[in-house]
Amino acid sequence: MDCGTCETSAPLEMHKPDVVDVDLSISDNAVKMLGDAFGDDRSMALLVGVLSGGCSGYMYDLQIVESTDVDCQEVNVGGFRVLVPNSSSHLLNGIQIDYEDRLMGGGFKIVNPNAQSSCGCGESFS
Amino acid sequence: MPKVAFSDSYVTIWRGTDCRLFLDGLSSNQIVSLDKNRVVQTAILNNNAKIIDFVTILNFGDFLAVIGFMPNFQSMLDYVTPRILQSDVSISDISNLNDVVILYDQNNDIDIGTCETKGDVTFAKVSDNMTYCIAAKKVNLESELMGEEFHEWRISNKVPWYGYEINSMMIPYKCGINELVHESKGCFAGQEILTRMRTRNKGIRVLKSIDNLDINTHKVTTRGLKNSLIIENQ
Repeated sequence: MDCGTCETSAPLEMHKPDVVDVDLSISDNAVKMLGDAFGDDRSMALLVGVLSGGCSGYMYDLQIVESTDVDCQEVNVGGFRVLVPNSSSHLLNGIQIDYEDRLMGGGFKIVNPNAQSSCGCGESFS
Repeated sequence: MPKVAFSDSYVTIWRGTDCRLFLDGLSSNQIVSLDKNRVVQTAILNNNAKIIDFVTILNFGDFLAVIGFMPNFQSMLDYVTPRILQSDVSISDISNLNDVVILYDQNNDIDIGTCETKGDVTFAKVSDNMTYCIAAKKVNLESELMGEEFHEWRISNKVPWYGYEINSMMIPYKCGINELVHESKGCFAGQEILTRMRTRNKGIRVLKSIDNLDINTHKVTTRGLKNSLIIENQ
């Protein structure tokens, strides 16, 4: 392992899914919550991504960002900038972003027509 | 010290800032806290908690080395690579440049769970009497073929192995790697199934080494000269 072999091999070609133009919607509850979070500042954006992991293999990643280095497409929904990484666009096309106001298990929820199953807490899907 | 060639292994190099987190989310043991010069074994699982591959992971600081079973290599890649998405993870295959040899049956001065490089050979100690050695092929690690002697040792020490106890039909709680399921690390693929089994104490099996005279042949996973390995309810 300490013989230079680690440096000589090129990375394997990774599976690259097709990039799709994402169509997404935001529920009234989610619009209200985003309005509270952003205020009048529309320079910020909601980044909706997917990471590997969670109980079901993929998990959602929601962040409020000003900009990102990740290759994204920008969608304007309900007056908000929404960024979706191209690498996970095939998993997020057609989603609805909802907000559930509950003491336990509340918060932003993703309703995803591409998900075959979800884990109990709703944060991950397959 | 007895040593056998793990000739049907693959060796991959994983680079990128997200490697540990990424592997942590797809496997049963805790990887995210794997420090430099540490080694850990884990099972990469699908959503049904079935084993995609059982791997040994060495942290070299700049990269991870992941050693697994070559017959599972393509299915591991097919499973892992679509999940990389925007994560900073890249994988290189250096299997044809390196040999893996297993030292067994004797202790040595390396601490369990650590890896260190001495000369041209990297040693990774996974248990008190089992150490993986990895070196470039040009180093020519001398070793025996994996045969009866190694499997007899496995039987006495209840060590599961690829193609015998560990295969893609198995889940970790049914093939003798129960201790490689981390109980509190957080979400990972297959976790719900494993947690349900554990909390309900249902379906968990253990590896047992028993006399050949006492075995039901249907349960034997590795048959030895006097004793054999079986998997049975705990």
